[in-house]
Amino acid sequence: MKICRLGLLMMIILLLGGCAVFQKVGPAEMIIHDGHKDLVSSIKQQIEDTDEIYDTVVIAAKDKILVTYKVRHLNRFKMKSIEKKLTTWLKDEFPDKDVDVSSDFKIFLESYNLYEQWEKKELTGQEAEKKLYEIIHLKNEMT
Amino acid sequence: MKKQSASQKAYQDLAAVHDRKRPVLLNCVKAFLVGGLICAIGQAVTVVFVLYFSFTEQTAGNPTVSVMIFLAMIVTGLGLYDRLGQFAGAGSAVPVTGFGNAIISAAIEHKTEGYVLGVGGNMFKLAGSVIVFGVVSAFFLAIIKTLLIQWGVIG
Repeated sequence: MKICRLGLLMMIILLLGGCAVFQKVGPAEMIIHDGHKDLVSSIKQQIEDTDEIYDTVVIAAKDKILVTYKVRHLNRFKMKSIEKKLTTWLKDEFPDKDVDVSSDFKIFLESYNLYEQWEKKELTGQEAEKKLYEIIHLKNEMT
Repeated sequence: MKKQSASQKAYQDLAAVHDRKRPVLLNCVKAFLVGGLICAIGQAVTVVFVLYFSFTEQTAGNPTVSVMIFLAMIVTGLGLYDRLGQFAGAGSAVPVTGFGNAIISAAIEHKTEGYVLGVGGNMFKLAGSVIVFGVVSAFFLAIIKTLLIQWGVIG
């Protein structure tokens, strides 16, 4: 009985500890290549105006732009339509840009790591671009 | 229901009076809680895969299913899963862990008949139908989806 109770306590602690993983880290943007400033800020504005989304990371490289976000929990059933709305808006606004949109937690995590490393100036532009391509490759993986 | 003669029906009525009532609601609650607990463990496994390995939320599903089946197999081999099954009923059988339990419990049951004809031949006695109907329904669903996409009904 005692072991049972101890195990239950451990499990609750572990489960609650898991919450720290999903805490809000705040919106972030990262510009590897200059000349995308207006674009990134307008994308950010649009995302901030969308109520269902929080915690966004926008990364802009020379020819690729990655937008990742988290969906509020009660809106997760509508994830597909939120993503569709965002992609159509991006297509209308920037038809000549290659923009990837993802709500996947892993993609968010990786891009936020990349952003943090970039802010600490640990990466050169080339390295950061390479990492961005890796993330986009991961995003497009299906199996 | 099968056709019953008058005496059979009289006996059934008599038996129903003396039969102990099944606590359906309580069983449902137990199954719900235990099934939910198993799914919570599965979610934790998914989160581990997402955080520490290069899986996305989309691709973490397959390894999670394998891990959960594997865990259920080990727990069945230790003899703990039957207790859980007695307590929770469908709550322990409906999640994918029930599949691992079905394989290993059949293997244990037929161990006395030898490894080839006993374990090997009877391992998939129950789980075989899961695989058969899973594959067949996946096949037909894939055909329907392909056709619908070809005809442009769905994107």
